[in-house]
Amino acid sequence: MLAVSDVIQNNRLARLYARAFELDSPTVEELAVGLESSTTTVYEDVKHLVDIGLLERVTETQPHRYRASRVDLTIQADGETFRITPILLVALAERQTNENINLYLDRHGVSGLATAIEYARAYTQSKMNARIMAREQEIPVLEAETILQELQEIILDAEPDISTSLDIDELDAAVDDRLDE
Amino acid sequence: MSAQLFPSVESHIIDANLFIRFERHDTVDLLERAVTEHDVVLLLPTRVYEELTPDSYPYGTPPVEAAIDAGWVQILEEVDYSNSVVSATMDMVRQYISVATDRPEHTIEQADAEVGGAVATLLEHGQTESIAIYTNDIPAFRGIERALSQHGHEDSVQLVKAFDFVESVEARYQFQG
Repeated sequence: MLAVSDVIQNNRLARLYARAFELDSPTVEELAVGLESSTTTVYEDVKHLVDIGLLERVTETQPHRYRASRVDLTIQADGETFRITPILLVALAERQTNENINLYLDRHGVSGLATAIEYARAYTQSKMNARIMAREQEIPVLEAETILQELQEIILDAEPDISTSLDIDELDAAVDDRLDE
Repeated sequence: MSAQLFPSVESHIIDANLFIRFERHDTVDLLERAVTEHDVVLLLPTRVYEELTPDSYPYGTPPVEAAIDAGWVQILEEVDYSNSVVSATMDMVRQYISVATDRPEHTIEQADAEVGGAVATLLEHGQTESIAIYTNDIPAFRGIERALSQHGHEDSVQLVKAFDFVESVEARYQFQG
């Protein structure tokens, strides 16, 4: 029996999830287009992902359509605790085609990437910069900025409603409060 | 008539995020063309130069050295920490970064405000009167802008949002062969 934690080790399953996420509510046939696996394998993989709750069947009749669950789980695997989110699974799925994500995973593992996603979400909202991430995660600024930018693109794609504009007046007021103290 | 790519200012200073964006997109050559065609030189604070060229780095690094050799990027002299406007600017930037990132002020280092320090140094030393700052670090820019306007340099800096600039350069030069 597969567990959610297995998906992070299995790039084929991560790519299937990412494709379902991208396509909204595809059928298995639609999912199979562009994936290297045979349709039979895709059927089996879809069944696995449904069993562990990463895909939801959204139709009552054939052909069934599947939706990527907006998963938000904290799990423990290989002695590490980290948060599984759609962004993490989409980022893992890009490993094969994105050299920067692949290198980051080699150096910092899945939990490192999951942490970077939290920084990237704040970065996307102008609430984080690479220098602070670099210091807190003990990595070079260049590496921090690079992964923040990679992940930012995924986040903006996956969460188009995320607020990216900073309220300057609010920021000014908060700084003024601080200076008055 | 197309929109202006570079604002009409005397100097242009860049943050690390701009160069890294072009490097990631593999379009540093387009940046070089845009810069040289417009007779612009991009100024790089010393600290930012160091950030872009770390020792023992496992990935490729952006071609900063080549850009410096070719003359379209220039490293700035050290920030003049002894100048009171420079240090006031850097303190203000640290406040903005601290508030925006929700980190205690003491954890924000002077080095985090280096771009602001470099800008203030140029203005205070009379090396320029107007500077465009290319960054996506909006809180830091706001800190620079506010501190400088409080110290006699009103309207001397303007923000060029780094990622919008990258898009503009790529859109203009990408398909020109």
